[in-house]
Amino acid sequence: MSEKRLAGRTVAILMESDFVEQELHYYERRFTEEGARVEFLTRLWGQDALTFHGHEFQEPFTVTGDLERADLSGIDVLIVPSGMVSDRLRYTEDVHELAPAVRLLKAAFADRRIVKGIICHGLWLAAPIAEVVKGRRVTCHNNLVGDARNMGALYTDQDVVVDRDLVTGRTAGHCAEFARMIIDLVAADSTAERAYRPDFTFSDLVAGYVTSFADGVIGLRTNDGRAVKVRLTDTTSAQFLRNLAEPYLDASGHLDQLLTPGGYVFAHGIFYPEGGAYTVEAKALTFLGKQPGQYTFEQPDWWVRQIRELGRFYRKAQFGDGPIDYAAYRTQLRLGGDKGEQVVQETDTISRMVYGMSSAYMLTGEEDFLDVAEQGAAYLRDHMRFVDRDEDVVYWYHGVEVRDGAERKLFTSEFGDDYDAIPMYEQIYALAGPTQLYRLTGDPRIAADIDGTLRLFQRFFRDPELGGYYSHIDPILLSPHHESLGPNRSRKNWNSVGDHAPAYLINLLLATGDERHADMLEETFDLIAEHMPRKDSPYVQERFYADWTPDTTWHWQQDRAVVGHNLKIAWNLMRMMSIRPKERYRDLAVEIGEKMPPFGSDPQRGGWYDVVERKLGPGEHIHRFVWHDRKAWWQQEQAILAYQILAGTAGGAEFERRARESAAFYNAFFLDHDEGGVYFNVLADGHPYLLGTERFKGSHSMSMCHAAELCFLATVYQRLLLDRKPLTLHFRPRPDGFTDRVLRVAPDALPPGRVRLDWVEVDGTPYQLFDAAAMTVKLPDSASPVTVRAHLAPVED
Amino acid sequence: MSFKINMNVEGDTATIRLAGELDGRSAPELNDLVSQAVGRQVAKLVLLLDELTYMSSAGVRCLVFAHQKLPRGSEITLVGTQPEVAETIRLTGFDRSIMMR
Repeated sequence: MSEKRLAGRTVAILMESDFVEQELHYYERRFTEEGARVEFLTRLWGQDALTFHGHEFQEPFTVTGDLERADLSGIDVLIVPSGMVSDRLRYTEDVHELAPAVRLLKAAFADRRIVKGIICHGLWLAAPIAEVVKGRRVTCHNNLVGDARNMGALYTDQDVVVDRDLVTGRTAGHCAEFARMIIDLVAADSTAERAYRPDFTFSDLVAGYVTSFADGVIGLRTNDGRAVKVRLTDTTSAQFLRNLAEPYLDASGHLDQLLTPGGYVFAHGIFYPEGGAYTVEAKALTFLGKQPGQYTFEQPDWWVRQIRELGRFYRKAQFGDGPIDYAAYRTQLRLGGDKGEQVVQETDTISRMVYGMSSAYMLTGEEDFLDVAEQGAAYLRDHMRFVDRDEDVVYWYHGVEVRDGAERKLFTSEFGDDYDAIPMYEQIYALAGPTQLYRLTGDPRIAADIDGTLRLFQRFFRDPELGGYYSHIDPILLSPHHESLGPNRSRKNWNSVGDHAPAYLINLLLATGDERHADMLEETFDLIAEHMPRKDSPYVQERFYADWTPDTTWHWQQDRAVVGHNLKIAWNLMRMMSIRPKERYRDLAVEIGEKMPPFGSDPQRGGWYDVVERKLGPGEHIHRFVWHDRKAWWQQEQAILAYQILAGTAGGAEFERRARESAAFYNAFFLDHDEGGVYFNVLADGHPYLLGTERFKGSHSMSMCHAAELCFLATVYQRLLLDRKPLTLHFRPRPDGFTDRVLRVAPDALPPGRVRLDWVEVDGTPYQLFDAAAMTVKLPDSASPVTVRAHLAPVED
Repeated sequence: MSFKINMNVEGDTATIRLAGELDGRSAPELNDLVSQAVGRQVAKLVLLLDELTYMSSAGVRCLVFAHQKLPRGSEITLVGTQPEVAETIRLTGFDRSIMMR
């Protein structure tokens, strides 16, 4: 074999007088021949060099390597040779101390990476540290068999013995076999552990841009620029991307037109290991548009149609086709939308559905969605709300359990993360739905509850000294510092500080224009910018003690990152740029947007991962996935919105490409065409993961909140910011809605001057009392709610 | 008027008599007793309130939390609730979960 099997490796050999000349020369040549660097070490006693003489021919041999200065981290093999070398090296002037060579050998035994080679009389060097060979199989010179046994070693009558990282040889005469065993062991380590390549078939996904198509082979360029050849077979199917409620659309008859350079395609197929490489044979192709460069999900109505189907799915799942009755509402919905065994109604899942239905009404104007939202908000008020007259605050139960008409309040969280406490996260999301509905109706009862809950945040969750909001308070004294909170005592986290903005606070500011909310937003974003980015990881820090020192011990989070939280920060910082712009907001958002793809996205298949270790372990180049490499639907949402708004405000083709690739993966793999709604999680290759709780469609992480938020804001960003197309929104202000009788119709925090209110209709009639630049409508007096249509248009440059 | 409280447990029923004003400072006393009742997993918790003139929200929180921690199907009954106290409870929605006599 011509390959040098020890290339880059270092073999260190201990030396003293009375060495065996032939043996040492053999090692020097044999290991050098395999590409290793051979180094001789001895105790130099403060000299630059010492010259020793051989046992048989008194051949001189000069050594310059000082074993007292040896760096084991650069050594792969340490050999104790034959002759009297070991006996001379175990001399110690202080009988209470180990000789330097013995200390070196002991340290080498402590590092299993280093192969220890001990031959013939060399075993003497281990006598003062017998524990390193105790219980291990060895061989040695026949004269030392008793010594070996006295050391507790298992003497084995062979010329060469291997015990994991210890190779022993019988005599100098066996130095060739001994050396070969060491070479095999080191070389096997490098091939087995450092160069393992799967040599079996597996199926996987390739996402990429077509670079060529000829003779049934597609050339693809992945998101990160790698070239992949994918072969078509007789049984390769092909379909066009489709929205919810759309039929399967076969594309296999149009492959020649579709597979022209520039088109983006998902190819799922089988990898065959052949000839030192992989042959990839596609079994299923998904095309994103009817022609290359066209993306169906960028059609103006794509997301509107999607939110309509989501709304219909949840409406039917909860209430069937009949009247809306929240007594029948259940948080637990199975995959097909039927209700599970649980009789729990969670505040946050109702609130999230109210959010989704309100958003669906805003985009579609369908009355039924508004009804579901309004009755949901009323149900929350009647069943989930605790009005605290003593403290003049409002808080929300975790939920209620409904059994035989009787209602059991679930006051504290029933989730493991937050058990027996009132988590900020749940109180925040209790406001998500009512706030979005308030944008439409201006209902003063909702406004009063929002204000009461904000007082709760300021009085009980807020840290007046060091800023921010604590993550939990106890249910009796409402204190963040109560000992019953355990690991949640006196803690702050991403959710308790950062989730106000996306869950309700930006929407509340949009609805009211109240500068108090802008102040609170500014405070939270300043804290995010100050404390969350850290130099120790590309990912933000998400959990803190009261004084903002990082908490890396909490429950499942430890020192781990949620990919989507990073993207959520980038997205919301860019929204904040349109409210109270600061350089540091933009810089941080752009920085996160630019650095995240190699860390959080899947360059081969597309899509975004879930939870990863914030730091690399020793020898690692890829941040480890904590539980799995699946992709949760909401991480995709954060990516799409982050890159859309970055592309639409900071600009750049690269951000737009990321937005498009993220939206492609989401729309191709998360829509449940069989049952309706979206999947919770897909495997890395896009197949839905449908086990356990991840089959459910109504839980606090599903329930039409983020999926609807995506539809709503992707419509806003795609149309108004990226495509510069108009958008009509629907509102239903009550006669007593909005104390100043001003309806604010800005769909999101958008850069001032980019969008104007073009025309307004009230109850189907053109209406003139509006401010085009401020996007506000002065409401007429009315006896009953009015329907307002607001037509927004991008401002031409 | 000072606050007085005592509890009597017989079988699977815990009866707590409250008198005076249950404010934020005295709520922990109620919490201690209902925690004991929860610890014994009683099926019925009866509160005698005819001499209670004021109940703070902290007091209601103790009862709601206790109800969550008692076994499923256990009952909380309030006896002799004065109108002001009943209104405090109604504002928390807890009246849907208990019996008031």
